[in-house]
Amino acid sequence: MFRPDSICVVGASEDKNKIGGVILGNLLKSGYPGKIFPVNPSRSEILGVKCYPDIKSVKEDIDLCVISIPAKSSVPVVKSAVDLRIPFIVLIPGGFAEAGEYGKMLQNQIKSLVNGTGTRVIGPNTVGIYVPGSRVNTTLTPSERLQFPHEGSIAYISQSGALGLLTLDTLSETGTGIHSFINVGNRSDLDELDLLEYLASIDEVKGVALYLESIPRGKAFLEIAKEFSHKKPIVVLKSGRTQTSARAASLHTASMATDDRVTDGVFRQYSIIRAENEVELMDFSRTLTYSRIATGNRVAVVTSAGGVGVVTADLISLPLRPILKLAELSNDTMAKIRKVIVSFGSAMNPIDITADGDVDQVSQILGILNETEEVDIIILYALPQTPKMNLSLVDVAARWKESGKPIIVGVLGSKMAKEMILLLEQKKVPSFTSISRVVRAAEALAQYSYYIRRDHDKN
Amino acid sequence: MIRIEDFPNGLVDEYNTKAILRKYSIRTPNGILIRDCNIPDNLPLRYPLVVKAVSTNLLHKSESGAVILGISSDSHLKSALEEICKRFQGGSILVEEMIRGNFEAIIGVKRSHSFGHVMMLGSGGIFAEIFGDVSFRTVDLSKSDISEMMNEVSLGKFLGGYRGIKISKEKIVEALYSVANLIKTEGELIESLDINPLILSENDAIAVDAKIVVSK
Repeated sequence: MFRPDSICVVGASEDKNKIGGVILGNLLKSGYPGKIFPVNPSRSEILGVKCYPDIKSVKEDIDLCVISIPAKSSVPVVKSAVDLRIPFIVLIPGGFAEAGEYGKMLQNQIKSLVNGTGTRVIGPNTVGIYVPGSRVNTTLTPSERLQFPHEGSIAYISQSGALGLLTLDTLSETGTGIHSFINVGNRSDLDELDLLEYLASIDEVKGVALYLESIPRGKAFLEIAKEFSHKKPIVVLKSGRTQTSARAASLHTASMATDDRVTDGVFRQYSIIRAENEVELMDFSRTLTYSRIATGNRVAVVTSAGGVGVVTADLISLPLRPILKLAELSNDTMAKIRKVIVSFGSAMNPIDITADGDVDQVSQILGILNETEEVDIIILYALPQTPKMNLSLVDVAARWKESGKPIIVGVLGSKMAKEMILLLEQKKVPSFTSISRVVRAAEALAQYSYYIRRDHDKN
Repeated sequence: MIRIEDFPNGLVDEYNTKAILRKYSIRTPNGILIRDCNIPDNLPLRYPLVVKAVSTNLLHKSESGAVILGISSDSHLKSALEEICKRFQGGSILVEEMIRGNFEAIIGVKRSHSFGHVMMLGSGGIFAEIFGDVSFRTVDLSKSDISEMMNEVSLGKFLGGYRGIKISKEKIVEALYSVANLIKTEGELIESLDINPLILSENDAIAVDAKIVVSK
């Protein structure tokens, strides 16, 4: 499915307003190097590619069959695909279990057709899959409307198609790459856990992001998390948080055991990182995938703008958010920093190098902070708006990120800041455009690092 | 093992729940069950006492007046028993020694759709619900899970002693492990379980009220 040598598109069309047209267009435009077999009984050729009346007439091996025709007519195609031993089907159409009794019946037919065979199904009711490394794009949004990310190391599995695609589009703001995107749709056969288990086990994937609305196979999920979450981060955005448990049960525990609280506790127990929203889902995935593990939760902040440092320090120190601690620097460390910065700067954490600070000073301070035992995580504000800063700050941050303590970079603003963010992302330095995102990412890193240390002690 | 036919209403009463808890070394107050309002002359219990109606229908006793606290003499006990007998005819009565402690906790279990049985630790007994001061984990508890749970609720702030209030961390840990063990051993029919309150003192943790809801 992730590296198919050939793909057929059932319901292919040259009409860009039809889903089958978009999918074929996306495959052709993304430069998919394998064989493409459009299937449509009323055409002999589509967009210059030979077209077949049905999948049986293809008479060549098909690795992946994308079906984009209405629900009812898709059932016999699935049957042919099973007969032809096609290993994977992406079943796009809606109108199945989500649409009432008749649809449910159709979905059950799909289920029993593939049950026990070598054919596995993603969907129905899916927006498709996207695997940039093998140039497989079976999604139903035209590429002129959505920026598809380049190849990277984060796998993204979503129970929502639309939210998934929108998040992919947002990723291009930072130039973040992904390994794959899969929308599991109605989960007639393969579900998010089958995919999680596979993706977490392969080397190219360094972290997995999941958007989940429900976790029906909760125990299996925890087993997978137990096996993989300490090897690569699993970040989950779980929706449906306000749903409360049945009040009728009437024991205190039962009435307090809301889905949200239970999920929260169980995720902590199994080292799964929870994101609050779609922005955090990707922020945390990037941070945890790119960063090394922190030795603790003490944060040093380096900034060329005093206010930015103070707001950061406030967020870190709020009593309601106990995950991070502002590092207390020793007199010795502060004396070293004082030698680097101007006299009106602050050597006390948050370290303020002032608008007079330049790239070289930042580099020296990062050196000092990496040397001392008093700091576990560094937050660096790379603010290209201050006069002596420039893009070479990216190399400094990247060098220290590679060799030293985890570093999370804040780049506020939009003009030169955008360029800086893209450059930092290329070097896999996690960087964010707001103070609160920076602090939340640092919290996720401290939390995940704690889990790793805890689970290591347990074993 | 808990048998569903013994509890046709789905509720294991306080007396039977406590008997199950004791099997797993969870401490409960000294007490005696009185059936059919046969009031004995001498009870081997120490004042002050508590009198409670035992029923498979009452879930929240303090809300329905089925409990009388702070009984300190024979005559007071007699009148309390008579009153409960009159109000809850045909039921049994539990007479127990009253427990004093420094802080109240709640330990509970709920069968979740996704993750199977999950355990809850909460601070403040009845206030746990108001403040949402609770923490959950699956029953596969490790030592670090338990200390995280304690620190996630305000209970954790009392562990080192706070303004003279001292509670025993070890006893809370033991109680949580014991409940987890109960669920793993005979939890199959248990839908939910409450120990509320678990009264904590410097060297004890006692399940003062407890109930189990069973279902197939």
